[in-house]
Amino acid sequence: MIELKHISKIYEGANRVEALKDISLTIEQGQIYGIIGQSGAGKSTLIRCINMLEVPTSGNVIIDGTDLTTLNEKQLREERKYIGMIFQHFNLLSSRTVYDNVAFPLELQGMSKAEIKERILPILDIVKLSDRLDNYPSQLSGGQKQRVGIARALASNPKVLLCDEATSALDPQTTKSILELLKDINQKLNLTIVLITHEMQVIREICDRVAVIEGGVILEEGTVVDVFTNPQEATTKDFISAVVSDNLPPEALEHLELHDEWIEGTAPLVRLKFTGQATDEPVVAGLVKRFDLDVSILFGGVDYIQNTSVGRLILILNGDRTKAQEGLHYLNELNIGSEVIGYVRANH
Amino acid sequence: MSEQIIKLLLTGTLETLQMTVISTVVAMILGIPLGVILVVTSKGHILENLAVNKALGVVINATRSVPFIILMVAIIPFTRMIAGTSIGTTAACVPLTIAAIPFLARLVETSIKDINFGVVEAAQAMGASPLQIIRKVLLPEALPTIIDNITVLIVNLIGYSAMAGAIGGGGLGDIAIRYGYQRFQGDVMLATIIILIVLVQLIQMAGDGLSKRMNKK
Repeated sequence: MIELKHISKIYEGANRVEALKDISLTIEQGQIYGIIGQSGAGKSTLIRCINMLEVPTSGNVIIDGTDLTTLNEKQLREERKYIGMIFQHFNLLSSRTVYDNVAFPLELQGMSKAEIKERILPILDIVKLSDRLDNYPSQLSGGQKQRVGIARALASNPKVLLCDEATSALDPQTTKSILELLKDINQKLNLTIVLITHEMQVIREICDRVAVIEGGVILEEGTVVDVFTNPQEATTKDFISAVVSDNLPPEALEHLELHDEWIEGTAPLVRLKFTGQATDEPVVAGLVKRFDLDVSILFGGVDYIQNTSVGRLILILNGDRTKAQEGLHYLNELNIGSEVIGYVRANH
Repeated sequence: MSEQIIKLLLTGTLETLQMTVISTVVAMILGIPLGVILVVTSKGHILENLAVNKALGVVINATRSVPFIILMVAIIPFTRMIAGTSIGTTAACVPLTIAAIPFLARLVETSIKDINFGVVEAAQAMGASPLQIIRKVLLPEALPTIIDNITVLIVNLIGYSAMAGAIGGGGLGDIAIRYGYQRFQGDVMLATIIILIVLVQLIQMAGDGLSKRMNKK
């Protein structure tokens, strides 16, 4: 549905900025695709390249088979009608009511009043604003404003919806309801959604795939479950740790002495990661029964990402050294990520 | 106060209003588009054209730097060309309008610049043409402040029209100078001042009310 080929964007001037460096991405029809990055990473520029609000310095933007970079102004305006966009600060017209804001894109296309009404009333129903038609944006809450933004974007039956930090100005509960609405629209209308955000929470909640962007470069890209469970880059790990904590809280180590070497009297401290099916494996029971180890659980949790369970456990394998070695070997053979963090001794 | 003086004041008030209304209307027809052009041709805006923007800016600044009393005298040949004469109420409308156009253009420019550019970006993302953005986004969004601007302009023009009166333009200013000042008729002076104050108050109130009604923010 969307294909970005070798997109670069350079802002010339006294402070020459290379905002995007040779970015290529493919987004399939019906996907919710997340692009995550810190501010200044280039994600805003990238999403604006998709509808050519920012014209890439080089590269091609192909949407549904049409290369937008080859179009003239007029053709581009025509194509933009099929690319909806919503914004962090909603960007509604303050002089127009809810109804007239949603009618705006259709008015631009020269549609008749009757046609507009027929088209937008069902949309206002989807976003649950049917009782707010005559209100002005200033009379609405942030969440309601964003619903107007979504309705306005949907009015012209877009093929693609671009979300520019659409939930960043909203409180957590409103964010959740807007994300649910986006997911709902994605499923009902099979609409392709591209969103940029700096919150991993948003990615976890609704995205199918994610790209991590930093310094104008895509660091890594993949399904959300893969990126969450097996992040390659430090930046990605940082983002993930904001929602799924992998690390041992310092309090848990307070009464333990951590060593890098397996010296006498210490026991391995192991981090386990499970995804999907592997969560059902009785790992701890296995360690206890088969290797006669005293397993203590320091930390653990299970998250659900896109209906896949993702578990984390941090264990201490106390017991006979050879048995513990066998236990580690057993963990390695299972289809789970295991990693020895260090060796600990209780220090009372 | 004699009946004659009252009649004189009435005519003067009408003349002042005539000068103000004519120059305001013409200034709106020309000044608002110029204000819009100043914004949309500026850097990064929808019809960026720095040459036009700079040139227009220079002309507007030049007109605005000439004090009104000097402008009035300096453009007498031009006034004669337009109005056929250089004295009287109709003639006074010419310099008043010339002064009003750049003044309003600058005010409108500021009001439109105040609109969050995100709204323009949203319209662009929906496929709006530059003309549609001007007509359906910039002007309606700036309307309440443009009304405020026009109110300021009218109040200014009432003041300027009194100055025009001093050099033969008629109106309340003319009466105040000829009767109140030169003939020492204090009551006439006082009456013109009171009428001017009442006029300005009424216009300000009307402008504020209208602007408030239009403002949905």
